[in-house]
Amino acid sequence: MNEWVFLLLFLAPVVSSIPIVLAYKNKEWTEKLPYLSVFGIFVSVLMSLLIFFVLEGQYRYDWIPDLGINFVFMCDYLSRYMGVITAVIAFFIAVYGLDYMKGDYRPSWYWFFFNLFTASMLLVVYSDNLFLLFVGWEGLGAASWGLIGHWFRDDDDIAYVGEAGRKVGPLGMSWPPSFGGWRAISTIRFGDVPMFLAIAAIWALSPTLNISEIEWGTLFATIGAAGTIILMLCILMGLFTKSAQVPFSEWLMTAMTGPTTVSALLHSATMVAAGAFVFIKLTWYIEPWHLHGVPGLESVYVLALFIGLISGLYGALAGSGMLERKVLLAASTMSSIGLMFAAAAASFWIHEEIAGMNLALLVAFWYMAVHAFAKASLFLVSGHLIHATHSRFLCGGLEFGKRMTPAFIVTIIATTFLVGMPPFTAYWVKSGMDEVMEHLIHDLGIIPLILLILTSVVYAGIMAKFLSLNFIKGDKPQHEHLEGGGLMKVGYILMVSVLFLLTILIFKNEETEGFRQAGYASVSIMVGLAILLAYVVGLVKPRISALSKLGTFFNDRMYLPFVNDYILPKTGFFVSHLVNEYGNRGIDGLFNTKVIPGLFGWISRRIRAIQTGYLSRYITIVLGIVMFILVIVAVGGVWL
Amino acid sequence: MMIPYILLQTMLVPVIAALVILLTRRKIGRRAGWIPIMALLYTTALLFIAGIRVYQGTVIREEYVWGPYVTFGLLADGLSLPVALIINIICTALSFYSLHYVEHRLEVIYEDEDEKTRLAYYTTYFWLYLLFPISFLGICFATNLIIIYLFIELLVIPLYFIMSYFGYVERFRVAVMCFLWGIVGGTFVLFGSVLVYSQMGTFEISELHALAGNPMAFWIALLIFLGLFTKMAVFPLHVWMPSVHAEHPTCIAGLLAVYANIAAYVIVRVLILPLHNDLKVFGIPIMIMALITIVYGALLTLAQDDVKRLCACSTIGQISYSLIGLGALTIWSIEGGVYYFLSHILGKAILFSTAGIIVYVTGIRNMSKMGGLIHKMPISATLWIAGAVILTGVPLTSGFTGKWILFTGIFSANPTSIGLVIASLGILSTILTGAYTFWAAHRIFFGPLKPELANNAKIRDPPLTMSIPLLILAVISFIIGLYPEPIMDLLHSVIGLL
Repeated sequence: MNEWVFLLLFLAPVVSSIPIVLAYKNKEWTEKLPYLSVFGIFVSVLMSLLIFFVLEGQYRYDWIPDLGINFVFMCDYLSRYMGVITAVIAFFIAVYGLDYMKGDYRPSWYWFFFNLFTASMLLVVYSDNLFLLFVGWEGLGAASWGLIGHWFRDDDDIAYVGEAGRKVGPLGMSWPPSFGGWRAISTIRFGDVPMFLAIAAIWALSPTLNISEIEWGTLFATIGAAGTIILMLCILMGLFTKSAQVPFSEWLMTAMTGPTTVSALLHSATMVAAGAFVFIKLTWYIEPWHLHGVPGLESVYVLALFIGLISGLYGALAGSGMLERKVLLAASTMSSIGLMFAAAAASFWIHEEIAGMNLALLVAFWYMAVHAFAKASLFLVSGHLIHATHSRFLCGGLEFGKRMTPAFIVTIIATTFLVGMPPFTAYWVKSGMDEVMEHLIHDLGIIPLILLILTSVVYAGIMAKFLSLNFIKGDKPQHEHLEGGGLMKVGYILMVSVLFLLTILIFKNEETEGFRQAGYASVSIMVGLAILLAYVVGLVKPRISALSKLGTFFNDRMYLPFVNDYILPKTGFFVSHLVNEYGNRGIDGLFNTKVIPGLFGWISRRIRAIQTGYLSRYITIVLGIVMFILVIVAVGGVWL
Repeated sequence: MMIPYILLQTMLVPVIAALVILLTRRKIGRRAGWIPIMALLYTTALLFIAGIRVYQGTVIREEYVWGPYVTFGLLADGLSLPVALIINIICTALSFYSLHYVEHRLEVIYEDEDEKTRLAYYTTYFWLYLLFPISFLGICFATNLIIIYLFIELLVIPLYFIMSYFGYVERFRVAVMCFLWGIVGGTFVLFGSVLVYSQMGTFEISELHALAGNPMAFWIALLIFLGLFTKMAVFPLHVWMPSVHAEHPTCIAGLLAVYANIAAYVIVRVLILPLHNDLKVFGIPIMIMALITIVYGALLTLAQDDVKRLCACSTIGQISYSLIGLGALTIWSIEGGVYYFLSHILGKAILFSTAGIIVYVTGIRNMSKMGGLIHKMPISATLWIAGAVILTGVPLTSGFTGKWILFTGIFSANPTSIGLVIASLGILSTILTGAYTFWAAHRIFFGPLKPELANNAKIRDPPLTMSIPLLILAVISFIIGLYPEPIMDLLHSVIGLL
């Protein structure tokens, strides 16, 4: 029976989207069949709930046992929660998408990849086998490529990122959807390949590929410090690129060229969240807090901690200068994901356990849950605003806010519940995070805590800016298209309402007791108040003209696009042209066009030159040969 | 099911079909194109039947005496059968594809000729085409070095003529180049074979194991390697490949990939299986050469603007993935190498043939003049993406499974640290494969549709006889990627004996 649960969980979304693919030429059917696709995701929701309430432990089904490849699913604390989060968020977004994508020019493409995206993430969530996880992982990459580049014609400025025609030096600061898709897949592949290398190496070194069964301590001891660092770095490359951490964050910004539903799913429960989730999951089973004697492991976790914190601050600062709705949210996601990485990495130094679970990992995971629903709500609102104003830039005053009351209220709830303002949901989780970083003072100094506080404060400011410039103090929109959008409203209202449920769970669950305690600590209260203050400032003063140059610098993502769009491709194409123009032409010249053919040509000409047809010529040659032989014989005779 | 002379039939039926076309060309006219299809569908069915028997543990042997010194032996075991089957399926798919493509080439090249002349060219193509499956299956099933050599050389003939008659701009020059390189490669194999005969008094592959430990085994292996590396376009012997691939008619693109790749099978059959221990000295140098070729091929590919040349250059690097597995000389890495070879020919047949479709439909080869074609050619775009994911090695495709078997095979045998480093770099270089296949997809199919393409009503997906066979190849790749066990069991039944 259980195998049917898993089969339906993964296959229902994919199978239900096949009819719309087959009917891609039939407009009538492509308008009806999205409902079937959404139903497929609903089946996944039911299955994830069934797993949440009924199944526990590992479930194994053979696939290719000789190669260590089997269907092995783990229904542990993390996957049971995350599975429900993923399926429910995907379902709400899909419902919203029924309205949002109506009349789109290629619904078959959209629904197939959307459902594949959901199924792939569910596979990542429940897989215990690293190979199987990688299958889902790559499925995420492929689906994200399809979805980000969905509006491939590049014919509508509303789907672009950046300002058309604007340049910084030689670099154009505007990105079309087709380029966004390419950028995503190229960056992600850059990380996935080392991850594949790491998984292959683990299979070679360990008798199993099942995360929960790998003897991580023994594995690290076998390969030594250098091996441990290389192995973990290869894994982290995959996670950092997927989660758009510095310096691999650029793809996420230009991923906003995709439909907003895609952005919502990408940022909340799949793709970028996948990187952080897998890091939490691996750390959960590696238990690094018990492996302090393993050489090299601490360096890996220090790196993950600081990459996370730096990405957190970078994302928040970049967001502070941004004026595009979705790109601002994208930057904030990068920031949040960075904090998840940092909190999970901090588990190396945290021994505190609640209900048998590491506090740092719980913090990271619960922040992911809160962030998922809040950010998905904000993205869905953002999509509705783009529809309503026909602009991707922040705009909308109080009057507009009144006319978009549900969106306005949802934005207030989502931002206040997300930033860590007391006493709303994320406050308790972030209090746990404050406590975790406080713990690190002993081992790593105060910098992690300072970076966290700075990030949280700036983050609160940008979320308030998003609210203010969309509904309170923004410019009046040039277009207002307020009718319709019923299912869109249903989507984001349902989404944001889960935040209340999460608050209840935080106060009810045994394992979150640590968050509640941390929430009453003086440091957390002070940080919470600072966040509140930043939020109010952001609300009242969303734009500071004196800082406009700095804002532009942040808006340009501190010129990081140069690495992605200029330095790397220019260098790559320079080398490839060098190989083509000089290397290959040289070898071609040797074998095919110059040296060897020339040599044969020369020999051939010399031989042909002999054939003049005149007797005197032949006599000369024969005499010459006779003379040569005589000389040789004479010299030989003398020498002998 | 017992079918008499089943292996001989797989080669004899295409021979008869070729003769039928040759002798009745004037009467059957355009229907000539369907004769190879019928013949190859039949031989594919035969190979399936043979495959079932081999999977059940039977080794099929047939022997036909061919003169005083040579016995024409045929052997279908777990190694030769899957290779022959996949190759034959590709040949069948491309025979469908050729129906329209050849007609198109004739219209382009011989538009000034009368119908009779064009018909002569049309039929010539199809009887020449049949020499490919005959030679490929001959190489796969041969039990004798000299027979393998003969079939390797036989391949050069249809290549030369098809290139000359139906190729692109520089077809005459490149046909000669292709011929010369083919002969040079074959000659080294011949030298190696003669050296074997001088030591053993026989050309039989089954006797080669007696050479193990013989100092001459090194020189024999070196000569055969040299010959086969020429075929496989290993750096720096790759220079024929970009030109030949770029200038030939694209209907035989997949077959050219097989032509180059089948050397991997020959290496396993005639060198690795009988002389495994003697080859260890070659292991690391082969892996290094393969790695250089992979990186070099990928960089070369990135520099291309011509869609056909892009596919051509990518073949250089892709073949060497198989070679890196063979060079590691572990059971799994060898099986992975052969498996990846099968995956590559499937993926490349799709990718290259799709490039041919693009050229066929648009008349353009330069990718910078393309863009947004998915709007008008969704099926072709799907095919390109399928080819790209197979070559890149996205999970659930045969490419991924092949790479997994190959690289875990290298790692698990715990070879020297150099071997590990080479294998790791080999994996990392697959980043470049993703870069060039998807970058090309971006340039050809996405972005705004160029006005000159938008206004051209002729630009649309090709006839189903061109696209469906390629879709079937993609499905096969996904099936064996998802469920590689039958092929792996077959390969393991032979290579696992090492």
